[in-house]
This record gives sequence, structure tokens and C-alpha cells, in this order.
Amino acid sequence: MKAMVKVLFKGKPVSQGFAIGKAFILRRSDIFREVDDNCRAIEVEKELEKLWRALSKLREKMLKLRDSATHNQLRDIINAQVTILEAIAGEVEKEIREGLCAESSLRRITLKYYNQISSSGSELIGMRADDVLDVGTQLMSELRGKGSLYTASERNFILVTEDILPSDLISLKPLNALGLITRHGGVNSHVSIIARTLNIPYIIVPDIELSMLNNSFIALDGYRGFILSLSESDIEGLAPTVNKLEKLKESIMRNRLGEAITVDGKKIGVLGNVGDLEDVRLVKEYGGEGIGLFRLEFLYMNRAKRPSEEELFKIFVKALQITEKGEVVIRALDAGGDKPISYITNPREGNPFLGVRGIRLLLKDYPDILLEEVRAALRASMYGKVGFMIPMVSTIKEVEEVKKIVNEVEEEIGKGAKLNFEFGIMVEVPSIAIVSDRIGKYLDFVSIGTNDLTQYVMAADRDNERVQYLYDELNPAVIRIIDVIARNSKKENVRVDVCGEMASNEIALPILLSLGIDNVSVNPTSIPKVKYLIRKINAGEISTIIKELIIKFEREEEIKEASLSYISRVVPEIYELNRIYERS
Amino acid sequence: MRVLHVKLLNKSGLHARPASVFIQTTKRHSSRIIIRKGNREADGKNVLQILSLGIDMGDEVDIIIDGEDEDVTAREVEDLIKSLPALDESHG
Repeated sequence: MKAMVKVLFKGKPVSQGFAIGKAFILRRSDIFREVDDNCRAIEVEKELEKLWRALSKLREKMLKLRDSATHNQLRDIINAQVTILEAIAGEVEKEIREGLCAESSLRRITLKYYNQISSSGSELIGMRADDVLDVGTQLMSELRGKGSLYTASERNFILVTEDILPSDLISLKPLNALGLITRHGGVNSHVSIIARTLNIPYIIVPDIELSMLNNSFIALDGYRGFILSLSESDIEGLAPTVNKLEKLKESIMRNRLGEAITVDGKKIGVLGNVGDLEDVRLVKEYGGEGIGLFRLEFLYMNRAKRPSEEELFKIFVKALQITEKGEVVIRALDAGGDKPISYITNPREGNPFLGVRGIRLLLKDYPDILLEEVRAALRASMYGKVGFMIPMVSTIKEVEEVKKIVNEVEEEIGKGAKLNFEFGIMVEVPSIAIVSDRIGKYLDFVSIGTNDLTQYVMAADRDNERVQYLYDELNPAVIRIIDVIARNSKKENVRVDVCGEMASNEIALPILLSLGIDNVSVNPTSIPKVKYLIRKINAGEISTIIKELIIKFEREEEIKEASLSYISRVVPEIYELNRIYERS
Repeated sequence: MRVLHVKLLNKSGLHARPASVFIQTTKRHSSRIIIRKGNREADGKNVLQILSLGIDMGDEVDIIIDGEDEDVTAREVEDLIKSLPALDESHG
């Protein structure tokens, strides 16, 4: 049987795992829309009685759910919701006494606090607004005498929905939801925490088309964040694979904390790539030892004015606090190219990937932004280990120029304060890779951005489907240039990190280790898998296999075969997931 | 009246679970309790108002306690704030 596995949508992995089943689209009716905003209580006493009845019924339900919950974390979440329920009821009571009817008041109070908490200024607490909406919605449905909000007629389904509330997910579990896909949500919302606790694979897909999926057979790849289309017959064929994956996941997750040391005793740092503080918390949860790439673009996007030095400083310090002991490596704003920001003007370019982007843009047009970022990073380095690196470097002159700025600020801030700071560059442009034997004196570390490096070495646009056959990070030319960078850096005592997708690819990882990489930085949810792999690899052994061959390789197939035969020998179990994709 | 100036040291600040632990303590006392962060205030016995302040790790707040049992309340609130980091291990 030849299965046709096709990626339908790509999203963000939130809870790992792999699920196959029928998609079930859930549309929650907005119960608040049906409620009048300003109805008056005819008899205050009766209205209060109605509220108490609904309150005690719901509280009883919640406590029952709490006592049957299998995990402490779920019990904690429900306890917090009971507190919220009591507070909401208290406020509604006041408004009823002022003459409002119970339903109108509940609507007002719920929405008022939902809005206030969402915009409270803390990204973590903002997500708790969902709990207020959750409790308010449940209380409203009690008031209106409606039972459960959902009626799921099926079992063993993958739930697809716009958004979902914590209590829905807890009560859906007994119906055996195999996986969860939503359009909206945050990786640290209570829903996400519950999904991870209950071991339900979950991805957030902002551009999902619900109608396309209804009742179709799909697979949810919670490792990569993909939705795949399947046929009914695939489900049967894939079932044993999914079972094996489930067992593997447990073992990978159990061992996510602790160091990643190769069989021959080399410690490899495993860190996370992040775009905001939410991601930083996820890195911590998944056992990352620090942040290997903090992209600043998200902090600058979707706002009218750029963040101030003070704002950046506070975010960096918070990232350090969340990370605890590990390093936080911040990358200077990488605007331009495919990442436009409204208040940063960049003339239309015929070829933006080869135009003014990254450090070119900062040095040319926005030296003030660069200075603010350097200052914020250096000030934060009083609170923990901070790395600062610049993207899109092509010449030694650029390195010199930024290093000079860093030195000046360091001298000014460093007076009387102990700084824990490192300076580095991203190596993505072949020109700087070629002269990497001359830059050690400026640098503490280099970070190889394999996605862009591959694109520039191969002169193949990452986003152009027609040249995808050229865009291959395992092409011998890419491997050789990484080898050059690593060897040059070692000679100069410069640390070598890799912060591209390549490091989480199980075929590429052994090759990177054979080249002497010190740290890898990957998507937060890939951290446990990467650690698992590292612990099974003998860097010395793979090095003798790969290094001898590196000069002789002519085609990427040969490199892949060598690595594949190695990895399938030392970690055969990791191949299960790939087999699913190989079927297509 | 007693004023406590405190810095939140637990990883997740006063979010849902720590806030509900907080009000379990404050509700046991008759004193009026106000939490002030910057120029915004919240009733220290109302979890919705506390969440609305968005008190995050590292934030500094004033807790104003006023009433007959203000001394014992202040002591308990102070101990409670100190004990919050121990709750960090579990999420919520």
C-alpha cells in the first residue's frame, strides 16, 4: 500500500506527540452574544436566588471534576478557577443589588475582567483571562439552564476549533480527544499546560481553514507542527507506528532535564530559539539549558513605535530570570528581507535577501536602534550571562565597527559593575565564513545560522519551491563550509554554536557533532529529542566516518546515506516518525 | 495603617494560582487590603482585581493594610509573599 501523505497546514507545536484520526470541528456558540446588556432585575431577591443556585451547581461540578482529576496541575488549575468563580459571583451580586439582572451583570463582569486581565501588561497573566472567560461562560450556561456546551457525538477524534477553554479540554478528555488543533492560543495558556499534562498532542495553526478539514482523516504531527492528510486506510497502516512513537515520546520526555553528553563524553549545550518570553518559559519546561537565539523581530512588529532601551532591558532580565543559570544569546534586530516592520523604512528592493537587511540596515540607517540593543544587553549582563550577536555579517569591517560600539558601551556601563557578557556574530553569509580565520580576536562565539547559510551557499531561495531541490543543508558544499567555520573558530578559541533547523534534524545532527560543534539551539519542543539523540551518538566514532569522507563526497545522497546508516544503527527507534513521511 | 513594600520573587508573579493562595490568606482577616502597583490599585481580597494588575516576577508593589487586625495581617501577608517561590515547581 502506498500512502499519500501531504502536509495540509503548518503551525506551531505546543504539545508533542503524533495522532491520527478523524477531524472533528467544534464551533462553540458565543453564549454572551445572546444576552442583553442592560436588563433590570424585576425582583432582586429572586434574581439573587437564581445566581446562588447557578453558583452552587457549578461549584459542585468543578469540585467533582477536581477530585477526579489525575494530576496535581489540573487540580491546581481548577482550584484557581473556583476562586475566580467566587469572585465573579461576588461582583455580580453587588450589581444585582443595584438593580441589574443576573445575566446582564454576569456578561458585563466577565467581559470587563477578561479585557482588563488580557491587557494587564504581563504576557503570562494575560493568558489567565481565558480562565475568567471559561468560568463566566460556564456560569452563564448554568444561569440559562443549559447543560454542557458541547455535544461530541464521536469518540477518538482530533479536535479542531477556533479556540478552546480549559474546562472544555478537561471534560473532553474522557471522550478521548486524540489531538487538538486551534487557530488561537498561547503556548503557556492553561489549555496548553493541560494538553501537555494529559499528553494530548496540540498545535496552533493561525491560518487553518476549518471547513477544509471537517470529517476528513488527518494526522497531527505535534513534533513538527504539521497537519497531514490521510486516507482511511492509512489510519490502520499507521497505527503500530503511532503506538511506537508514543512509547518513544515518554522516554524522550522523561529524560529532558539534565545534560546532553555524547557516548564518548563530550558535553553539548542544548538551548532554545525564541521570539518572546512565552517561548523562553517553554524552553525551560522542555529542559533547555538557555537561550541560543533570542530573535528581537517580534518585539518590534505589530506596534506603532519601537521598544525603548528600558523595555528591552526588562525583557532581557526577565528572560535571564526564567532561564535561571543558562546563557541568553540575543540577536540584534534582523529586519529587512522577509521581515518588514512598519516604522522601519527600507526602500523596495528587487532582491531583498541580497539587499539591506540585518546588520547592514542597522549600521546604515538605524545606528540608534543598534546602540539601544547593545546597551540593553550589556546592562542585563549584570544579572546573568548574556550573549549579543549580529546577523547578516559579510565583512570583517562590520564586525570591527560593532565591536567598537560594544567596547565603548561596556566601558561606560562596566564601571563598578560586574558584567557577564559575550560578543558574537551569526555566520550566514559565505564571505564571512571564508575569512573566519581572521575574526577570532573580535569574538567570543560564532553562531551558524544554517537556514540562511544554505540559501546563500546554494544561491537557492528558501521560499521558492522550484529551487527546493538545491536548498539542502546536507549538500557537501554546505557541510564543508561549516567544517571550515568550525575549524577556524576552534583554532582561535571561539565557541561554535548552531542555531538553525539543521540541528534538530536527526540525520544532520551526527554530522554537526562530528565537526566539533559546542552548542546547538533548536525550537523549544525539539530540545528533548535532540538531547536524546546526542546521548546516543559517539562523536569520535562518527567523526572518523564523516571526516575522512568529507572531502570525497560529491552528492548530498552520499552524506545522507553515511549519516543515516550510522544513526539507524545507534538510534533505530527515532526513525519511526520519518517513516511516515517516507511513505509519500 | 501598615504599608508593606514587597518585590515578587516567584517565577510567575501573582497569576491565577498564587493569587488564589494570596486571597485565601487575606480573606481570613477583617482589615481592608489594597495592592498598589504604579498608579493602579486592586482590592487585596478580589482575585479578579489582583489579576488585572498583572503583577509579574520582579515587580514591586505596595500592600496597604488598614484595620483592627492590621499587625497580624501584615505579618501573615509578608510570610506568604516570602513563601511563594516554593510554589514555582508546579504550573498554574
